[in-house]
Amino acid sequence: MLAYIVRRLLWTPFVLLAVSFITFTVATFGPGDPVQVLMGQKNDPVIVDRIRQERGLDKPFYVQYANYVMGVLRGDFGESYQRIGQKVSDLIFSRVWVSVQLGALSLAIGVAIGMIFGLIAALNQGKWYDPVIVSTALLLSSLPVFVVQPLLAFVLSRQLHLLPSSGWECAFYVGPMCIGVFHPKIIMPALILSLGPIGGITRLMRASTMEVVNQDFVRTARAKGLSEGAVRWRHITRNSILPVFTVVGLSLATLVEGGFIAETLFGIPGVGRLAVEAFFARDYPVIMAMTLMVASAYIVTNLVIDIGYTFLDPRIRLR
Amino acid sequence: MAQEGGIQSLAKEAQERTGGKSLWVVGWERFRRKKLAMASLVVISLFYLGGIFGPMLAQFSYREQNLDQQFQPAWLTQPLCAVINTVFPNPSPSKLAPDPEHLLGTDRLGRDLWSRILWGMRTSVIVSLAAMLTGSIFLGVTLGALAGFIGRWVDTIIMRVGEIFLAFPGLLLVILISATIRPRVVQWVTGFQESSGFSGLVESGFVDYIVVFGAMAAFSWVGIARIIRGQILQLRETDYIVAAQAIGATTTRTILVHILPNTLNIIIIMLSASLGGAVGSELVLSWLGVGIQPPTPSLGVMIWENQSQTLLFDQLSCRYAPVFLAPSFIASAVFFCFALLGDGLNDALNPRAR
Repeated sequence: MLAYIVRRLLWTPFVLLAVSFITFTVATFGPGDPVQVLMGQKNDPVIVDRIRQERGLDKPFYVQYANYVMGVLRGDFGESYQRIGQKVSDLIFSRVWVSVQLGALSLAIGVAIGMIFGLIAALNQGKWYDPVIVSTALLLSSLPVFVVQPLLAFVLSRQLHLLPSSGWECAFYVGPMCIGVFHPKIIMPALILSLGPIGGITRLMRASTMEVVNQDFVRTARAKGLSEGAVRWRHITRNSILPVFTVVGLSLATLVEGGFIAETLFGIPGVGRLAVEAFFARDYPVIMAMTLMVASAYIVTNLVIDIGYTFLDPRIRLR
Repeated sequence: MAQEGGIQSLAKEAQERTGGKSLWVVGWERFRRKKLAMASLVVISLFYLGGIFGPMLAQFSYREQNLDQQFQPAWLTQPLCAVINTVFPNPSPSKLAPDPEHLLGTDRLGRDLWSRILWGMRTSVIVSLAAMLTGSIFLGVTLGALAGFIGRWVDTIIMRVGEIFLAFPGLLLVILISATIRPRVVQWVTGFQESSGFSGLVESGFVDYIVVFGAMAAFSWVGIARIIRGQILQLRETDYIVAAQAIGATTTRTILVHILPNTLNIIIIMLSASLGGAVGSELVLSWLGVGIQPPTPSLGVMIWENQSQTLLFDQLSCRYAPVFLAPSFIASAVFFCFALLGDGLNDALNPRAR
């Protein structure tokens, strides 16, 4: 177990190194010259050469890459091409908190709805609403974000005036941190983002509940005369929730990708919108930092889930 | 002899239990009983047939503009519109009358919406089939089989590389690849056109197809390769594979005749998922503006062009053609059908789900 964790932790830097190398290569040989972007209208070859020298862009590729990696290890991701003079780490740091709040709220809503759907469907197997619930869950998660957003904004904001249709605001501050979770502006984006994970979680929750229902201990619980509510809640639900947590890691990928689109559509100042803007501006330092950040998040989440799983279910041994 | 008789009676018993049907017949029968999954298979087939043959049936070209006929209302949805307008009276009805020539009406440039949707479906079909064939089937199955069968350092390399690809935020890198590679491919194809005398490759959207499916194929192999490898590792230890190898079957024969057919059910489940995923990725990329470029039609571009709220109101009250609603509906319906199909296939074919 310990050996497994150590092995995974030792391997992680290599994965991140490979990820950074691929993005760096694509960025270096891709279209768009940062110095030309900096120069704008004025194009003076002498100044261009000076800037290249100052920034180390005249050096061979591997030296540039080594410098970049050394910088990243010090926490320096370079300067943005598009927002001249702004450090990439500051740009990302100021936005990441917004995306984390939105993502966490959406994940919580999605997982909760999915678990309830799956549980109801499994406990009512064979009744007419079992397939209806499962299909509804699949329908909800197969609707693209950019199809739901205009429709929902039309009904809830434009016609019924119930919710604000876009933007981001802080409900209050905790120190310097802006807490937007309690502001009505987060409701619509969070609802739309939460649709993605619902389908998978419903299916998994249904399957795992159906497995638990047939176990001996459930029969024992019924045989010793526990009320149906107690059996369902204390014995069935608690045991069937566990496997569902493994897909929460997979839902993270859906949420990150949905976040790019939702943050752009709703005008939320998070990292997703920053990434999309960076793509269109070919702002490679920002793109590289974003890729590294998301890759690390995936790796860490999956590791935490793997390890957490062995604590929750002692039957599982990682090797 | 006694032992042989035991085996024969066991075989007979197994045959009676399954009615002498192969795994495939049993799987198909299980699948056919799922009405929702069958219905979604029909819808998906229609989508693919529409994408392949639709443009031949389309009366209009996807780029033929008619500026006196902007947003002509749909002819097909007239009865529905009559109902909607009795409940919500339309404050300013369209000046243009619906015309059976334009089944779904026309868009902001007077282009026939139905023809554009058929052409957009063709884009989805080409890109998703190409990505699935190259990425999932070719790369995924081959690499997975190599990793599982050769093992040792080949396995380590393939799986480690796969791990790196999985750590990438997929959409982010697909966007990055298509944003950086596209200009190079355009350059390359233009050079090819000039030297060889071919023309119209860039204009026909050929470059966009190559870029989008190439970027997606690079990512779609990992999942299927991992599963194939796992299956092979599991199957390799089974008695019938050991027996096949003992009587001298070559590695190629063992893989093709004994192992592959037994992993096909998983492959089919994965392929259905990867096909649906490819249709979805194309939609997202085109919607973001890094995939298919206008005027080449794509459902993603059509959704992006027409997502404004004012336009939506005019569509819901049937004043305009369903320029946003129709492509959105088709895309959502196809995704929903892929989800239902995957669910049904999983129930019918996945041995672990029984």
